[in-house]
Amino acid sequence: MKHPYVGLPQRQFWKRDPGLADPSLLDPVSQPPFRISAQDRIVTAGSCFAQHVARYMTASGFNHYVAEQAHPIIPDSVAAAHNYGLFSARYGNLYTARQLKQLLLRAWGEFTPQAASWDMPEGRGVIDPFRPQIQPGGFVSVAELERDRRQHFACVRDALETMDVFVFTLGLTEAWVDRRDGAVFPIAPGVFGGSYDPDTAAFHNFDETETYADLSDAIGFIRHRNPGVRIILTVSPVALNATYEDRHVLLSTAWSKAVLRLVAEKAARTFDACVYFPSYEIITSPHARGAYFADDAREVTAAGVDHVMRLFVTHFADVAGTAHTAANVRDTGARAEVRRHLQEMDETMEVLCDEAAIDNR
Amino acid sequence: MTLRVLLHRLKTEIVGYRRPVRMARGKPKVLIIGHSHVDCLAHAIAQTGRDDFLAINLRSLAGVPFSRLARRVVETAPTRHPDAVVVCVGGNQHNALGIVENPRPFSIGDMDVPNDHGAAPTRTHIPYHVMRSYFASLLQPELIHDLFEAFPGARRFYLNPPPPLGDWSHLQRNPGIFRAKISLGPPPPQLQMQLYRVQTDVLRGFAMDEDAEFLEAGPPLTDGSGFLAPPYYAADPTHGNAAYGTAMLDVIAAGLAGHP
Repeated sequence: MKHPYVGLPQRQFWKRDPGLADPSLLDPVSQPPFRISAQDRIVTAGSCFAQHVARYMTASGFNHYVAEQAHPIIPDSVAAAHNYGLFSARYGNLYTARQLKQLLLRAWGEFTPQAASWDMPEGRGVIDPFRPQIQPGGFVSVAELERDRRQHFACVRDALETMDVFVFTLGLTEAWVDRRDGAVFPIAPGVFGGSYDPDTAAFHNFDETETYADLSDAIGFIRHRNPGVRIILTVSPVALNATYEDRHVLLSTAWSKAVLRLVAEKAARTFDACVYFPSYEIITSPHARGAYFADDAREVTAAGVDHVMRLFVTHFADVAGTAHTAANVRDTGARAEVRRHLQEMDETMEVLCDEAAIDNR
Repeated sequence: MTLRVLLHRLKTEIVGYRRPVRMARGKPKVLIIGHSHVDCLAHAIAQTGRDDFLAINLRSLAGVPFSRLARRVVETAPTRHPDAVVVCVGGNQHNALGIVENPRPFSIGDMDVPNDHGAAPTRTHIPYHVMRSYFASLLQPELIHDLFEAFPGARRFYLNPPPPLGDWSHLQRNPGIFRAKISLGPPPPQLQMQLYRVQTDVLRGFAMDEDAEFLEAGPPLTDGSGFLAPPYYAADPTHGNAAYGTAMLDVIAAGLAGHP
């Protein structure tokens, strides 16, 4: 008997999926329209799940381009503790599409929010309202924050203008908005710095229309400056930590993820060289039977991240290995020169300090 | 490891060269323990005959494992019960970073300065707390703690190393082992002072953690910008001379005269 499903690929049938018997074999990724070479510059951004993606990229031989690096005199451990390399620039988590759009506008000088700084929780120093946890200890002054922000924006521009691949992970729809100018904060004022004033901060839950418009605007903005960039969209499988909607957080999580998943799909169908990668489905799939969630039923386990990234490599990497772009080789050389200088200075001080007792007057 | 450092280690660790601990004739009441910045105090003690002070350069204990340094100091010191212990560990880290311009110039965040040091804004900005964390990783709070703990009952002081020398011509006249680096040119004086201030902030924090009083140089040992005043320059670009050491002995004495 003939019917439309006869002859369709195995992957289109639930009961045929090998992941049912062995969750590690689940592979819901369709053949992507492009591949990523070891030389391609990848820029990452998005919600906290995107941090996993960025870390994996860095460790697995992809050219995760970190435009905003600490000065080479700063040891890697100190730089990491201050959130350098977490993403391609120190923008912290970009949970909503509106945040991404506003970051672009701010970096190119097309939007300057009124909220320039928030006081630190203990009142010592200030923090950036748009990346409140990026600088442990905060900034010692508004002047320092503004100086760092200028450098940050320059790095954002560099990253987005020179990237070959942009991986953006959509995380949330709920946000807090400055009533005065519409600026969107990553966390509510008062949670980490600043103070909550209902007259200036309002809760907003972006629906599918708003979220798609923001994402579409952001992609258009980026493509205007970098026409050839390939885009990979993902949705974070991490549940909301809290909802401001008057309902159970699980319902808000389902609504939010549904909106984001829909928007990502629509963007992938609308824009050329824009693809959806199903990290959300891999982690939340019934095949995994919850094994990819930690004990809090929210955070993703290392095994889950490994599964996601294994499939990412399988489907996107066209060259194995750890090659880096020529530009990055040059950058590494420049960093090495500074670190060599510092080592020589340290050694010189060692010798000098030993001789000081002899030569002192 | 460079040949220079290898020779240095041969001299201090393998051949067994030891610079003698500078012993005072009487039983000292104050032990000053640290690295090269205590040498100017040792010279001052020797010149002035103030035998109530004794300066111990930890480099005289080269080869002693880090974890045993404090114990070895106790074994070396002529008294286990001084009235006070003054610690001055390391302290040239700010100079390593800022005595000459860095191949990739940088600036540090500050209280009120956007801060590109008047130059084109091509300096890489390093937030203050990043630099502070870096200094905290360079300095040695464990050693500081061990040294204070080694002399229970003694009053505790931390002696800040001297401020940077703001006179580039002094380095040009006395390049010594910095000769190869002179071509990098001078850093902005403001940056030199910022590096010193960050280091000082970290050391002051360590001192507070140890309930130690923090002692530092002020005018007339420093000029109007906080740099070491020229009369107190040693013949190298980072240390104070015996006159500075004498003045700092007075600072310590004044600290001792204060309430515990």
